[in-house]
Amino acid sequence: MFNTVQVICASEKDRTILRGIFANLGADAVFSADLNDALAVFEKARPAAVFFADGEEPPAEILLREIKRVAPLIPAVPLLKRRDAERAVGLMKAGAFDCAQSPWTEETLRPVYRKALRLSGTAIELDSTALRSRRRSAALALAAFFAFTGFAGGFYYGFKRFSPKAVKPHTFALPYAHPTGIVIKETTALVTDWYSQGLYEHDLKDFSIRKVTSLPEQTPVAMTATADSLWLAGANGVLEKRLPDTRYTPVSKTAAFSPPPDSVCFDGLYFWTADSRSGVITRRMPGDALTELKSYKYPGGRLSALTCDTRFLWAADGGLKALVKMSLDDPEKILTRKELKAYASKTLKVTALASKKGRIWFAGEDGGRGVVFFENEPK
Amino acid sequence: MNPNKADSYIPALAKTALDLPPLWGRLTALSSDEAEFLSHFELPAGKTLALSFELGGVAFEDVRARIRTALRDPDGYYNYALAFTAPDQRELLRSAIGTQLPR
Repeated sequence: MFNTVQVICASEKDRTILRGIFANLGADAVFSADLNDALAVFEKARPAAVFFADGEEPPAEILLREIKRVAPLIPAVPLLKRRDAERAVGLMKAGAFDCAQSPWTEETLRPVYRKALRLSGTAIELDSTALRSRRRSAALALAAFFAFTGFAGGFYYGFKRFSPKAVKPHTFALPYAHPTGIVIKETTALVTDWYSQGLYEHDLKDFSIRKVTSLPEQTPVAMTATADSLWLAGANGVLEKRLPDTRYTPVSKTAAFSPPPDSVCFDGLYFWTADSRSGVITRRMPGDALTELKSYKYPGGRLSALTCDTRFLWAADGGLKALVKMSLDDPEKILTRKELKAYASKTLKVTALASKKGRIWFAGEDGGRGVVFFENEPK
Repeated sequence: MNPNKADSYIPALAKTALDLPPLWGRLTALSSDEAEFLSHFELPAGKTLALSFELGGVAFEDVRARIRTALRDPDGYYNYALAFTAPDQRELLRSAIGTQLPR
Protein backbone atom coordinates (compact mmCIF):
# COMPACT_ATOMS: atom_id res chain seq x y z
CA MET A 1 0.00 0.00 0.00
CA PHE A 2 1.22 3.51 -0.86
CA ASN A 3 1.80 4.86 2.65
CA THR A 4 3.36 8.29 2.39
CA VAL A 5 1.37 10.83 4.37
CA GLN A 6 2.02 14.48 4.95
CA VAL A 7 1.62 15.90 8.46
CA ILE A 8 1.32 19.62 9.01
CA CYS A 9 2.00 20.59 12.60
CA ALA A 10 3.69 23.70 14.00
CA SER A 11 4.20 22.37 17.50
CA GLU A 12 7.47 20.54 17.96
CA LYS A 13 5.99 18.62 20.85
CA ASP A 14 3.01 17.45 18.79
CA ARG A 15 5.30 16.56 15.88
CA THR A 16 7.29 14.33 18.17
CA ILE A 17 4.15 12.56 19.34
CA LEU A 18 2.80 12.21 15.82
CA ARG A 19 6.15 11.03 14.42
CA GLY A 20 6.12 8.13 16.86
CA ILE A 21 2.48 7.29 16.15
CA PHE A 22 2.82 7.31 12.36
CA ALA A 23 6.06 5.36 12.59
CA ASN A 24 4.24 2.71 14.60
CA LEU A 25 1.41 2.70 12.04
CA GLY A 26 3.98 1.95 9.33
CA ALA A 27 3.43 5.27 7.59
CA ASP A 28 6.13 7.16 5.78
CA ALA A 29 5.29 10.54 7.32
CA VAL A 30 6.60 13.80 5.85
CA PHE A 31 6.36 16.61 8.37
CA SER A 32 5.88 20.28 7.61
CA ALA A 33 5.77 23.13 10.07
CA ASP A 34 3.25 25.22 8.15
CA LEU A 35 1.13 25.41 4.99
CA ASN A 36 3.79 27.08 2.81
CA ASP A 37 6.32 24.48 3.80
CA ALA A 38 3.76 21.74 3.11
CA LEU A 39 2.85 23.04 -0.34
CA ALA A 40 6.52 23.35 -1.22
CA VAL A 41 7.17 19.66 -0.67
CA PHE A 42 3.72 18.49 -1.71
CA GLU A 43 4.64 17.81 -5.36
CA LYS A 44 7.74 15.87 -4.37
CA ALA A 45 6.18 13.91 -1.53
CA ARG A 46 3.00 12.96 -3.39
CA PRO A 47 1.30 11.90 -0.16
CA ALA A 48 -1.67 9.56 -0.04
CA ALA A 49 -3.27 11.67 2.69
CA VAL A 50 -2.66 14.88 4.60
CA PHE A 51 -3.03 15.14 8.35
CA PHE A 52 -2.91 18.53 9.98
CA ALA A 53 -3.27 19.77 13.52
CA ASP A 54 -6.36 21.82 14.31
CA GLY A 55 -6.22 24.92 16.42
CA GLU A 56 -3.11 26.44 14.86
CA GLU A 57 -2.52 29.21 12.35
CA PRO A 58 -3.83 29.31 9.71
CA PRO A 59 -7.19 27.88 10.74
CA ALA A 60 -8.05 24.33 9.66
CA GLU A 61 -10.67 25.64 7.18
CA ILE A 62 -8.00 27.60 5.29
CA LEU A 63 -5.62 24.69 5.35
CA LEU A 64 -8.36 22.48 3.97
CA ARG A 65 -9.20 24.94 1.23
CA GLU A 66 -5.59 25.28 0.12
CA ILE A 67 -4.93 21.58 0.23
CA LYS A 68 -8.08 20.87 -1.80
CA ARG A 69 -7.07 23.55 -4.27
CA VAL A 70 -3.77 21.82 -4.89
CA ALA A 71 -5.08 18.25 -4.66
CA PRO A 72 -8.90 18.12 -4.72
CA LEU A 73 -9.16 14.38 -4.26
CA ILE A 74 -6.61 13.85 -1.54
CA PRO A 75 -8.00 12.85 1.89
CA ALA A 76 -7.34 15.61 4.38
CA VAL A 77 -7.71 14.75 8.06
CA PRO A 78 -7.76 17.44 10.74
CA LEU A 79 -6.34 16.31 14.05
CA LEU A 80 -8.71 17.83 16.60
CA LYS A 81 -7.17 18.89 19.87
CA ARG A 82 -10.42 18.18 21.67
CA ARG A 83 -13.46 16.08 20.89
CA ASP A 84 -15.90 18.39 19.17
CA ALA A 85 -18.41 16.60 17.00
CA GLU A 86 -19.96 19.76 15.57
CA ARG A 87 -16.58 21.08 14.50
CA ALA A 88 -15.69 17.70 13.10
CA VAL A 89 -18.85 17.59 11.01
CA GLY A 90 -18.26 21.18 9.94
CA LEU A 91 -14.75 20.36 8.77
CA MET A 92 -16.00 17.28 7.00
CA LYS A 93 -18.56 19.42 5.20
CA ALA A 94 -15.67 21.72 4.24
CA GLY A 95 -13.93 18.79 2.65
CA ALA A 96 -12.15 16.91 5.42
CA PHE A 97 -12.14 13.19 5.00
CA ASP A 98 -12.63 12.59 8.71
CA CYS A 99 -11.41 14.07 11.95
CA ALA A 100 -9.25 12.44 14.55
CA GLN A 101 -10.02 13.42 18.11
CA SER A 102 -7.69 14.12 20.96
CA PRO A 103 -5.87 12.49 22.62
CA TRP A 104 -3.86 11.46 19.59
CA THR A 105 -2.85 7.87 20.04
CA GLU A 106 -1.96 5.01 17.79
CA GLU A 107 -5.35 3.40 18.52
CA THR A 108 -7.39 6.48 17.65
CA LEU A 109 -5.40 7.35 14.56
CA ARG A 110 -5.08 3.83 13.10
CA PRO A 111 -8.62 3.57 11.64
CA VAL A 112 -8.50 7.07 10.24
CA TYR A 113 -5.04 6.56 8.77
CA ARG A 114 -5.96 3.26 7.18
CA LYS A 115 -9.33 4.45 5.91
CA ALA A 116 -7.79 7.62 4.49
CA LEU A 117 -5.82 5.54 2.06
CA ARG A 118 -9.04 4.36 0.45
CA LEU A 119 -12.07 6.49 -0.92
CA SER A 120 -16.40 7.34 -3.07
CA GLY A 121 -19.82 8.80 -2.24
CA THR A 122 -23.02 8.20 -0.33
CA ALA A 123 -25.47 5.95 -2.11
CA ILE A 124 -28.89 7.46 -1.67
CA GLU A 125 -32.21 5.85 -2.46
CA LEU A 126 -35.77 7.04 -2.21
CA ASP A 127 -36.82 3.64 -0.93
CA SER A 128 -34.44 0.86 0.03
CA THR A 129 -37.05 -1.77 -0.78
CA ALA A 130 -37.00 -0.47 -4.33
CA LEU A 131 -33.22 -0.90 -4.39
CA ARG A 132 -33.52 -4.45 -3.12
CA SER A 133 -36.28 -5.12 -5.58
CA ARG A 134 -34.15 -3.83 -8.44
CA ARG A 135 -31.20 -5.89 -7.30
CA ARG A 136 -33.44 -8.94 -7.04
CA SER A 137 -34.90 -8.23 -10.47
CA ALA A 138 -31.44 -7.80 -11.93
CA ALA A 139 -30.29 -11.04 -10.32
CA LEU A 140 -33.37 -12.86 -11.57
CA ALA A 141 -32.93 -11.42 -15.05
CA LEU A 142 -29.30 -12.49 -15.03
CA ALA A 143 -30.22 -15.95 -13.79
CA ALA A 144 -32.99 -16.19 -16.36
CA PHE A 145 -30.58 -15.14 -19.08
CA PHE A 146 -28.05 -17.80 -18.12
CA ALA A 147 -30.80 -20.37 -17.66
CA PHE A 148 -32.22 -19.54 -21.07
CA THR A 149 -28.77 -19.60 -22.65
CA GLY A 150 -28.04 -22.95 -21.03
CA PHE A 151 -31.42 -24.33 -21.97
CA ALA A 152 -31.14 -23.11 -25.54
CA GLY A 153 -27.63 -24.49 -25.84
CA GLY A 154 -28.69 -27.81 -24.36
CA PHE A 155 -31.80 -27.90 -26.48
CA TYR A 156 -29.80 -27.15 -29.62
CA TYR A 157 -27.19 -29.75 -28.71
CA GLY A 158 -29.88 -32.29 -27.87
CA PHE A 159 -31.80 -31.48 -31.01
CA LYS A 160 -28.70 -31.93 -33.13
CA ARG A 161 -27.56 -34.98 -31.20
CA PHE A 162 -30.73 -36.93 -30.72
CA SER A 163 -33.21 -35.84 -33.34
CA PRO A 164 -33.64 -38.35 -36.14
CA LYS A 165 -32.19 -37.49 -39.47
CA ALA A 166 -34.49 -35.82 -41.89
CA VAL A 167 -36.54 -38.31 -43.78
CA LYS A 168 -36.31 -37.99 -47.50
CA PRO A 169 -39.61 -37.13 -49.04
CA HIS A 170 -41.43 -40.14 -50.36
CA THR A 171 -44.28 -38.35 -52.04
CA PHE A 172 -43.75 -36.49 -55.28
CA ALA A 173 -46.14 -34.24 -57.13
CA LEU A 174 -46.25 -34.79 -60.86
CA PRO A 175 -46.58 -32.03 -63.43
CA TYR A 176 -49.38 -34.00 -65.11
CA ALA A 177 -52.59 -35.22 -63.59
CA HIS A 178 -53.44 -38.63 -65.04
CA PRO A 179 -50.68 -41.17 -64.44
CA THR A 180 -51.63 -44.71 -65.42
CA GLY A 181 -48.49 -46.80 -65.29
CA ILE A 182 -45.23 -46.82 -63.39
CA VAL A 183 -41.97 -48.72 -63.83
CA ILE A 184 -39.05 -48.27 -61.45
CA LYS A 185 -35.56 -48.70 -62.85
CA GLU A 186 -32.19 -48.28 -61.16
CA THR A 187 -32.01 -44.48 -61.15
CA THR A 188 -35.13 -43.48 -62.97
CA ALA A 189 -38.87 -43.99 -62.93
CA LEU A 190 -41.04 -44.25 -66.00
CA VAL A 191 -44.58 -42.97 -65.74
CA THR A 192 -47.27 -42.95 -68.41
CA ASP A 193 -50.03 -40.37 -68.54
CA TRP A 194 -53.13 -41.13 -70.54
CA TYR A 195 -54.37 -37.57 -70.91
CA SER A 196 -51.15 -36.16 -72.32
CA GLN A 197 -50.35 -39.49 -74.02
CA GLY A 198 -46.80 -39.26 -72.81
CA LEU A 199 -44.14 -41.44 -71.28
CA TYR A 200 -42.19 -39.50 -68.69
CA GLU A 201 -38.78 -40.45 -67.40
CA HIS A 202 -38.11 -39.05 -63.91
CA ASP A 203 -34.97 -38.90 -61.83
CA LEU A 204 -35.59 -41.15 -58.86
CA LYS A 205 -33.90 -38.74 -56.42
CA ASP A 206 -36.22 -35.80 -56.80
CA PHE A 207 -38.60 -36.93 -59.49
CA SER A 208 -37.51 -34.19 -61.86
CA ILE A 209 -38.31 -34.98 -65.47
CA ARG A 210 -35.39 -36.22 -67.52
CA LYS A 211 -37.18 -37.08 -70.74
CA VAL A 212 -40.65 -37.03 -72.25
CA THR A 213 -41.68 -39.36 -75.04
CA SER A 214 -44.93 -38.66 -76.84
CA LEU A 215 -47.23 -41.59 -77.60
CA PRO A 216 -49.55 -40.07 -80.21
CA GLU A 217 -51.00 -43.35 -81.40
CA GLN A 218 -51.79 -44.83 -78.04
CA THR A 219 -53.60 -43.89 -74.88
CA PRO A 220 -51.60 -45.71 -72.24
CA VAL A 221 -53.57 -47.11 -69.30
CA ALA A 222 -50.95 -49.48 -67.85
CA MET A 223 -47.29 -50.27 -68.18
CA THR A 224 -44.75 -52.87 -67.11
CA ALA A 225 -41.25 -53.90 -68.04
CA THR A 226 -39.37 -57.11 -68.61
CA ALA A 227 -35.64 -57.49 -68.88
CA ASP A 228 -35.55 -56.50 -72.54
CA SER A 229 -38.80 -54.73 -73.27
CA LEU A 230 -41.45 -52.34 -72.17
CA TRP A 231 -45.16 -53.23 -72.32
CA LEU A 232 -47.82 -50.58 -72.65
CA ALA A 233 -51.50 -51.35 -72.35
CA GLY A 234 -53.78 -49.11 -74.38
CA ALA A 235 -57.29 -47.97 -73.64
CA ASN A 236 -58.42 -50.20 -76.51
CA GLY A 237 -57.26 -53.34 -74.70
CA VAL A 238 -54.18 -53.83 -76.88
CA LEU A 239 -50.78 -54.36 -75.22
CA GLU A 240 -47.79 -53.05 -77.11
CA LYS A 241 -44.31 -54.42 -76.72
CA ARG A 242 -41.62 -51.77 -77.15
CA LEU A 243 -37.85 -51.73 -77.04
CA PRO A 244 -36.24 -49.87 -74.17
CA ASP A 245 -34.37 -47.57 -76.56
CA THR A 246 -34.50 -43.81 -76.65
CA ARG A 247 -37.68 -43.75 -78.75
CA TYR A 248 -39.33 -46.82 -77.22
CA THR A 249 -39.67 -48.34 -80.66
CA PRO A 250 -42.79 -50.56 -80.99
CA VAL A 251 -42.05 -54.24 -81.65
CA SER A 252 -45.34 -56.08 -81.48
CA LYS A 253 -48.94 -55.84 -80.37
CA THR A 254 -51.39 -58.21 -78.83
CA ALA A 255 -54.97 -58.61 -79.82
CA ALA A 256 -57.39 -56.42 -77.97
CA PHE A 257 -58.26 -57.99 -74.65
CA SER A 258 -61.72 -57.75 -73.26
CA PRO A 259 -62.24 -56.26 -70.84
CA PRO A 260 -59.29 -53.99 -71.55
CA PRO A 261 -56.81 -54.39 -68.66
CA ASP A 262 -55.76 -51.36 -66.70
CA SER A 263 -52.96 -53.08 -64.78
CA VAL A 264 -50.19 -55.23 -66.14
CA CYS A 265 -47.08 -56.79 -64.64
CA PHE A 266 -44.48 -59.47 -65.22
CA ASP A 267 -43.40 -61.75 -62.37
CA GLY A 268 -40.36 -63.13 -64.19
CA LEU A 269 -42.28 -66.12 -65.47
CA TYR A 270 -45.82 -65.03 -66.31
CA PHE A 271 -47.63 -61.91 -67.30
CA TRP A 272 -50.50 -60.68 -65.20
CA THR A 273 -53.23 -58.34 -66.28
CA ALA A 274 -56.08 -56.97 -64.21
CA ASP A 275 -59.26 -55.08 -64.85
CA SER A 276 -60.16 -52.91 -61.89
CA ARG A 277 -63.79 -52.50 -62.94
CA SER A 278 -64.55 -56.21 -62.90
CA GLY A 279 -61.87 -57.19 -60.41
CA VAL A 280 -60.58 -59.93 -62.71
CA ILE A 281 -56.92 -60.88 -62.56
CA THR A 282 -55.56 -62.88 -65.47
CA ARG A 283 -52.36 -64.88 -65.68
CA ARG A 284 -50.89 -64.95 -69.15
CA MET A 285 -48.12 -66.75 -70.98
CA PRO A 286 -45.10 -64.61 -71.79
CA GLY A 287 -44.91 -64.06 -75.50
CA ASP A 288 -46.07 -61.57 -78.04
CA ALA A 289 -49.67 -62.73 -77.79
CA LEU A 290 -49.86 -62.91 -73.97
CA THR A 291 -52.16 -65.89 -74.14
CA GLU A 292 -54.50 -66.19 -71.19
CA LEU A 293 -53.77 -69.04 -68.80
CA LYS A 294 -56.23 -68.53 -66.01
CA SER A 295 -58.40 -65.85 -64.53
CA TYR A 296 -58.98 -65.13 -60.85
CA LYS A 297 -61.42 -63.05 -58.95
CA TYR A 298 -59.77 -60.37 -56.85
CA PRO A 299 -60.44 -61.36 -53.23
CA GLY A 300 -60.27 -57.91 -51.64
CA GLY A 301 -62.62 -54.94 -51.61
CA ARG A 302 -62.16 -52.79 -54.68
CA LEU A 303 -59.12 -53.34 -56.88
CA SER A 304 -57.48 -50.11 -57.93
CA ALA A 305 -54.17 -51.26 -59.35
CA LEU A 306 -52.10 -54.42 -59.51
CA THR A 307 -48.42 -55.21 -59.76
CA CYS A 308 -46.18 -58.16 -59.05
CA ASP A 309 -42.63 -59.19 -58.41
CA THR A 310 -41.02 -62.60 -58.39
CA ARG A 311 -42.70 -63.48 -55.07
CA PHE A 312 -46.08 -61.83 -54.72
CA LEU A 313 -48.93 -60.02 -56.32
CA TRP A 314 -49.58 -56.59 -54.86
CA ALA A 315 -52.83 -54.71 -55.12
CA ALA A 316 -53.90 -51.25 -54.10
CA ASP A 317 -57.39 -51.62 -52.70
CA GLY A 318 -59.49 -48.47 -52.66
CA GLY A 319 -62.21 -50.26 -50.73
CA LEU A 320 -60.00 -51.58 -47.97
CA LYS A 321 -57.77 -48.49 -48.25
CA ALA A 322 -54.88 -50.87 -48.02
CA LEU A 323 -52.03 -52.52 -49.83
CA VAL A 324 -52.94 -56.15 -50.34
CA LYS A 325 -50.42 -58.96 -50.80
CA MET A 326 -51.45 -62.13 -52.59
CA SER A 327 -49.76 -65.35 -53.56
CA LEU A 328 -48.67 -65.84 -57.13
CA ASP A 329 -49.95 -69.40 -56.93
CA ASP A 330 -53.31 -68.52 -55.49
CA PRO A 331 -54.25 -64.89 -56.18
CA GLU A 332 -57.67 -65.44 -54.69
CA LYS A 333 -56.18 -65.60 -51.24
CA ILE A 334 -54.98 -62.49 -49.41
CA LEU A 335 -51.74 -63.08 -47.57
CA THR A 336 -51.51 -59.75 -45.76
CA ARG A 337 -52.88 -56.30 -46.05
CA LYS A 338 -51.47 -53.05 -44.78
CA GLU A 339 -53.50 -49.94 -44.31
CA LEU A 340 -52.25 -47.08 -46.47
CA LYS A 341 -51.99 -43.73 -44.71
CA ALA A 342 -52.14 -42.03 -48.09
CA TYR A 343 -55.79 -43.00 -48.27
CA ALA A 344 -56.42 -40.48 -45.51
CA SER A 345 -56.80 -38.18 -48.45
CA LYS A 346 -60.36 -38.83 -49.58
CA THR A 347 -59.55 -37.80 -53.12
CA LEU A 348 -56.68 -40.25 -53.69
CA LYS A 349 -57.19 -42.65 -56.55
CA VAL A 350 -54.35 -45.10 -57.10
CA THR A 351 -54.01 -46.03 -60.76
CA ALA A 352 -50.65 -47.81 -60.98
CA LEU A 353 -48.30 -49.86 -58.83
CA ALA A 354 -44.71 -51.04 -59.09
CA SER A 355 -42.54 -53.17 -56.84
CA LYS A 356 -38.83 -52.61 -56.61
CA LYS A 357 -36.21 -53.48 -53.98
CA GLY A 358 -38.57 -53.80 -51.04
CA ARG A 359 -40.61 -50.74 -51.90
CA ILE A 360 -44.06 -50.54 -53.38
CA TRP A 361 -44.49 -47.48 -55.59
CA PHE A 362 -47.85 -45.92 -56.15
CA ALA A 363 -48.95 -43.57 -58.89
CA GLY A 364 -52.33 -41.93 -58.97
CA GLU A 365 -54.45 -38.85 -58.85
CA ASP A 366 -55.16 -36.82 -55.77
CA GLY A 367 -57.27 -33.72 -55.88
CA GLY A 368 -56.72 -33.17 -59.58
CA ARG A 369 -52.97 -33.59 -59.33
CA GLY A 370 -50.77 -36.50 -60.24
CA VAL A 371 -48.76 -37.99 -57.39
CA VAL A 372 -46.22 -40.72 -56.88
CA PHE A 373 -45.32 -42.13 -53.51
CA PHE A 374 -43.86 -45.28 -52.07
CA GLU A 375 -44.24 -47.45 -49.01
CA ASN A 376 -41.84 -49.98 -47.65
CA GLU A 377 -42.98 -53.48 -48.36
CA PRO A 378 -44.93 -54.88 -45.40
CA LYS A 379 -43.43 -57.87 -43.66
CA MET B 1 -27.23 0.09 -13.16
CA ASN B 2 -25.29 2.33 -10.81
CA PRO B 3 -27.13 3.40 -7.67
CA ASN B 4 -27.85 7.08 -7.13
CA LYS B 5 -25.05 8.75 -5.26
CA ALA B 6 -24.29 11.99 -3.56
CA ASP B 7 -21.09 13.71 -4.66
CA SER B 8 -19.46 12.68 -1.37
CA TYR B 9 -20.27 10.73 1.76
CA ILE B 10 -22.67 12.79 3.85
CA PRO B 11 -21.11 13.83 7.17
CA ALA B 12 -23.34 13.21 10.14
CA LEU B 13 -23.26 13.96 13.83
CA ALA B 14 -24.64 11.35 16.16
CA LYS B 15 -25.85 11.83 19.71
CA THR B 16 -26.11 8.76 21.86
CA ALA B 17 -26.97 10.17 25.26
CA LEU B 18 -27.26 13.53 26.86
CA ASP B 19 -24.36 12.87 29.17
CA LEU B 20 -22.01 11.66 26.45
CA PRO B 21 -20.29 13.81 23.86
CA PRO B 22 -21.62 13.46 20.35
CA LEU B 23 -19.65 11.52 17.79
CA TRP B 24 -19.39 11.78 14.05
CA GLY B 25 -19.11 9.80 10.92
CA ARG B 26 -20.51 9.57 7.42
CA LEU B 27 -23.63 8.15 5.87
CA THR B 28 -22.55 5.69 3.20
CA ALA B 29 -26.11 4.80 2.22
CA LEU B 30 -29.38 6.52 2.89
CA SER B 31 -33.03 5.80 2.26
CA SER B 32 -36.18 6.94 3.95
CA ASP B 33 -36.28 3.84 6.13
CA GLU B 34 -32.69 3.00 6.82
CA ALA B 35 -29.11 4.14 6.52
CA GLU B 36 -25.56 2.93 6.79
CA PHE B 37 -23.36 4.97 9.07
CA LEU B 38 -19.59 4.72 8.97
CA SER B 39 -17.64 5.94 11.98
CA HIS B 40 -14.48 5.13 13.84
CA PHE B 41 -16.38 5.41 17.12
CA GLU B 42 -17.61 2.18 18.63
CA LEU B 43 -21.27 1.75 19.60
CA PRO B 44 -23.24 -1.36 20.52
CA ALA B 45 -26.01 -2.81 18.36
CA GLY B 46 -29.49 -1.94 19.61
CA LYS B 47 -28.51 1.52 20.75
CA THR B 48 -30.59 4.45 19.62
CA LEU B 49 -28.97 7.42 17.95
CA ALA B 50 -30.08 10.89 17.03
CA LEU B 51 -28.51 11.80 13.73
CA SER B 52 -27.98 15.28 12.39
CA PHE B 53 -26.97 15.81 8.80
CA GLU B 54 -27.68 17.82 5.69
CA LEU B 55 -29.19 16.52 2.53
CA GLY B 56 -29.49 18.74 -0.48
CA GLY B 57 -29.40 21.93 1.60
CA VAL B 58 -32.00 20.61 4.03
CA ALA B 59 -30.77 20.15 7.59
CA PHE B 60 -32.07 17.16 9.48
CA GLU B 61 -31.71 17.35 13.22
CA ASP B 62 -31.94 14.50 15.65
CA VAL B 63 -33.31 11.90 13.30
CA ARG B 64 -33.89 8.93 15.55
CA ALA B 65 -32.44 5.64 14.44
CA ARG B 66 -31.74 2.30 16.04
CA ILE B 67 -28.53 0.41 15.39
CA ARG B 68 -29.57 -2.92 13.89
CA THR B 69 -26.09 -4.29 13.27
CA ALA B 70 -22.56 -3.10 13.88
CA LEU B 71 -19.73 -4.52 11.83
CA ARG B 72 -16.10 -3.55 12.13
CA ASP B 73 -14.22 -3.37 8.86
CA PRO B 74 -10.53 -4.28 8.36
CA ASP B 75 -9.52 -0.62 8.73
CA GLY B 76 -11.05 -0.42 12.21
CA TYR B 77 -14.10 1.59 11.20
CA TYR B 78 -17.57 0.53 12.27
CA ASN B 79 -20.35 0.07 9.72
CA TYR B 80 -23.66 0.59 11.44
CA ALA B 81 -26.89 -0.49 9.81
CA LEU B 82 -29.47 1.95 11.09
CA ALA B 83 -33.25 1.83 10.97
CA PHE B 84 -35.09 5.10 11.26
CA THR B 85 -37.72 4.76 13.95
CA ALA B 86 -39.84 7.89 13.70
CA PRO B 87 -42.49 7.71 10.95
CA ASP B 88 -42.79 11.46 10.60
CA GLN B 89 -39.02 11.82 10.16
CA ARG B 90 -39.07 9.01 7.61
CA GLU B 91 -41.66 10.90 5.60
CA LEU B 92 -39.55 14.05 5.69
CA LEU B 93 -36.57 12.04 4.56
CA ARG B 94 -38.55 10.45 1.75
CA SER B 95 -39.62 13.84 0.55
CA ALA B 96 -36.08 15.24 0.69
CA ILE B 97 -34.58 12.26 -1.07
CA GLY B 98 -37.29 12.41 -3.71
CA THR B 99 -36.26 15.93 -4.61
CA GLN B 100 -32.61 14.89 -4.87
CA LEU B 101 -33.09 11.97 -7.21
CA PRO B 102 -33.17 12.44 -10.98
CA ARG B 103 -36.64 12.24 -12.47
